Amino acid sequence: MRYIAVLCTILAALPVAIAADNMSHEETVVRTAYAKLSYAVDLETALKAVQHNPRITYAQLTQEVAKESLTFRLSDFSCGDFSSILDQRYARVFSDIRDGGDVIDIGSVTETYTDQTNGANTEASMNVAKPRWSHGPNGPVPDGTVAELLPAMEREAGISALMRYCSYTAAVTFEGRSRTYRANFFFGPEGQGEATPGDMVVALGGGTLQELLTKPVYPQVLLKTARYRNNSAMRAFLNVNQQSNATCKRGEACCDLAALHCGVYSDDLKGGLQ
Amino acid sequence: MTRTSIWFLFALLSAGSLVAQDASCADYNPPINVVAVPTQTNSQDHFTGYHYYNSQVTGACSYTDPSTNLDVYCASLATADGLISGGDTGITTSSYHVNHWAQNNTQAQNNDGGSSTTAQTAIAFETCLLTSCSFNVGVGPISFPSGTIWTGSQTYSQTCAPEPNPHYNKGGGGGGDGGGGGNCPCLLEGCPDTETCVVGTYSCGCQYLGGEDKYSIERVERNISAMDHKLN
Repeated sequence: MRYIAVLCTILAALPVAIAADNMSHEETVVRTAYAKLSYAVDLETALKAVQHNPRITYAQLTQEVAKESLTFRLSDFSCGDFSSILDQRYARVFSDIRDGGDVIDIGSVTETYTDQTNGANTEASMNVAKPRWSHGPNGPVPDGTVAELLPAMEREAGISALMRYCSYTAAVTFEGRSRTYRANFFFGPEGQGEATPGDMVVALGGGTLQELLTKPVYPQVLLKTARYRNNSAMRAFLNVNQQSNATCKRGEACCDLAALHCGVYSDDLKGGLQ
Repeated sequence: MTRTSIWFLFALLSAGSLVAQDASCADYNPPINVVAVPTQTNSQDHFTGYHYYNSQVTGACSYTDPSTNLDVYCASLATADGLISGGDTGITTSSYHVNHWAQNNTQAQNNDGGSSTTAQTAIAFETCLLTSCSFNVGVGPISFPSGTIWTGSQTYSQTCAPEPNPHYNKGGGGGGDGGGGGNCPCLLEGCPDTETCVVGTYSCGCQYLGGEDKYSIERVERNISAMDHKLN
């Protein structure tokens, strides 16, 4: 049970809102990752919209963000110990992406703004994300039990010992297209979540989701630089989408995990933006 | 130089200054730069087909009038935005290939001078067996995980040179009726070698003049010199 204690410690440190009393720690982690990913895409869209058109209105900005948004619906969570499924066939327990269908490919983007006036070099940066549809892989799924394939799973995930898993149904919508798929999230001994979302693995598995578990998604550039902070449309966007709940922490996305929607924590907006 | 020629110079420079007041820092905006890495391919671990990527960075300079005419230079904003994409075609020799990509988009602002910024894009390909396959690509600085079968990246720097503020006024705006002419200190005291005394309707001051402005001043000075010669 040691890993559960460690897991709880780490999760307790995550700045997330637990939307329902009966939400498990694993579901909280999964929902947080997806909510932050969706928010990271919105922030990138908002920044680019104002960058390209500083005179954009709030209505236009909202429309732009909505048009480019990446939204998820998560349901049917099933979480358990790996030890309880070791003798089951891997392909029957975990979904796989190799059906040749389209997947969402997500890039990790850093936006950096530097003020070089008087040689000061004041820098602000933020982690955002950029999605796009792409062709997914095709091919046979490896045959074997979970026990037989577990070493390979751990090696590829970069986690020394996978302890828990969470399977769930995810429906993603982007650019007017939707896909529904079965996805998995794996947990190591220290509570690190590893995203392996079925047929969305290229997009949602590996890099980006894992990064978003550990890195803050916070609109530093939009809040700290005069160019964006003083833009009326951006100010309205940040104000309208602000969130607040007991688990939120300053400097990190504040999320409604039921709606999978994040915003700036209200306390971060006090004393300046409003 | 006679008193008459000084006032004539004042009149001419005033007219020139009026033209300068119509000028804008936006006039310095250069065309946008698009620097592309054409499609690169690699067929490692492929029976047929290959993995590929292409990348481009768009760089731009945007000059705006500074908030005060006391600034010698225009405000500048350098931007560099990356765009990278990749994928796989054909049949791989083992399992399937996954690519992850990252980019660092940057902006740099200087309210009184030039600016410079650098964008990076990076992509890495790995062979994966299961859906638990995971790895990260980093930018700023560019970093790849061990075990990749192929990587690619692009770095591009956008530099916006300092451009003179067409409305620069070292004197701080002069003021009202007493703006130029005989009350203008730079006409009496002179300016540094790289600057010229410019007298406007309401103000005057030493101003660095580059390009055509500088030559127009030189032409004015030649005309005044010629007139002086006639008057003498």
